[in-house]
Amino acid sequence: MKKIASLLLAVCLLLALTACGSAKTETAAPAADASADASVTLTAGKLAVGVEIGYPPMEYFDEDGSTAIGFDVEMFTEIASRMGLELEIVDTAWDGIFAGLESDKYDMIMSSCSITPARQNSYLMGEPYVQNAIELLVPVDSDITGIEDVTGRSVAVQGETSSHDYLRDNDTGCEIRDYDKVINCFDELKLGRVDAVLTDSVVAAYYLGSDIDNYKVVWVNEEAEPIGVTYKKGNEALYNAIEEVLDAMSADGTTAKIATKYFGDASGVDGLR
Amino acid sequence: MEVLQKMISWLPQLLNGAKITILLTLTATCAGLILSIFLALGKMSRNKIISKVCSAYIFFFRGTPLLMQLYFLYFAVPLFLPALTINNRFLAAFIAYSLNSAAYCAELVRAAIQSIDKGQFEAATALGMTYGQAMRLLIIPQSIRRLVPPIGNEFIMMLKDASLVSIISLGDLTKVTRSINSSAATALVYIPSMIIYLIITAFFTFVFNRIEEKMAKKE
Repeated sequence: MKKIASLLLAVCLLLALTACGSAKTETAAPAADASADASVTLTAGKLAVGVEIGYPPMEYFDEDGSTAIGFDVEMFTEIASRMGLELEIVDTAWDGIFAGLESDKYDMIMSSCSITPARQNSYLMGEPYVQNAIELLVPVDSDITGIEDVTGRSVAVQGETSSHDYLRDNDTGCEIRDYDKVINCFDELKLGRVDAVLTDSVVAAYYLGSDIDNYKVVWVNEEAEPIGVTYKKGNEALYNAIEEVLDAMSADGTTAKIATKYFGDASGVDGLR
Repeated sequence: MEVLQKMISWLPQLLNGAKITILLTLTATCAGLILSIFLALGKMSRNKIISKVCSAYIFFFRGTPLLMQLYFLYFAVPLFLPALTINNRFLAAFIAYSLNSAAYCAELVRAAIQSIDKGQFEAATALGMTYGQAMRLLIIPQSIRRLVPPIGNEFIMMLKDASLVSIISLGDLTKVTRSINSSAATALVYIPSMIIYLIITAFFTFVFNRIEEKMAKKE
């Protein structure tokens, strides 16, 4: 008797859970289509931004370990406040961040996402708001002088980033080591376990700034990959609203101010919009 | 049909990942099991210091996540104990998994030993056997048989915990699956991958069942 009762309880619990789950998707679906409406976001009055926090100086935690700060973070905080929306920061792993956009976990991605042709195919990519390219970082005493020297050496990248794509798509002949967090790439370089790190210039500059005696940049990809906001395909309503705010922020100097705070100067955002 | 062809084209990569998964699980569980016998005996020891040290070890490794232990050993230890730096990623994973598995197995071993009737031990010592002789000749051989099913269980848990090694960029089956998922832009790769996991589990379940049968015959 006891067994049957507990089994029934388990079934009820499962049913209740699925009921909650489906209720949630039902409310989310119509909101996404309400582009003609005043609300352009998934939940009216709220802007949910998908971001992988752990990518200084673009998005990272302050020393208290819980306050999100960084260039992107201040940018979307400003966007939300100008649009009169409540901001919801959805901290998510980079590997899977696009799947989260597809399944309506957030309205957009603003997480140092480089504009690449492949991403333009699958998502609605905004206009660039900050300049970026991938760079090769090595210890100062390294004999690697460019990307052609990495043959037979090991290079650390963050998994599924444009740096990772670069190594997979180009025949560099190096051993690719991919990590979940970009900080682990630098840990490995510091411990001498890898020969180089390939990463976004915005991040490279940050690490160079704090450890200039130990690293140097030996190669910059000539193909610039500026960073833009990523929207779900077909979400023109949100695209128009956000891009307009970004233009305004650029015009009145807010973007340059935030850039100077995090990068030291505004050269990364000059003349982009 | 096209889907099937795609899945077959992923197989070599997936099997490469499976190799690491199997190798890590096998070596780490074996090493962990050997270490665990000493831990279990140590915890049951009448020597208070040995007993406390072994208890503390077991408490530490069962009380913290394996993921964190792996991070700690690979990234944190080199910072304050440079002499213990392990640069080989497989070796680092092997050590972390062995140490962790040893703690879990130690409790299984202890339970198996304590499940043998105490009267047997008393009879053995009454016959003039030393503690070591009684353990080696009488208690441990009997407890091994009772140990097989829970160790089989621990092995299968370990097989799936092996997926955590992706954090140190070691390409086990789960990591390979995830990277195919993103590069081929299809989640279908989870189908052959899960089938491979099931095949591995089925094989080792079979092996452990055979060992159990063999042991039963000896009784």
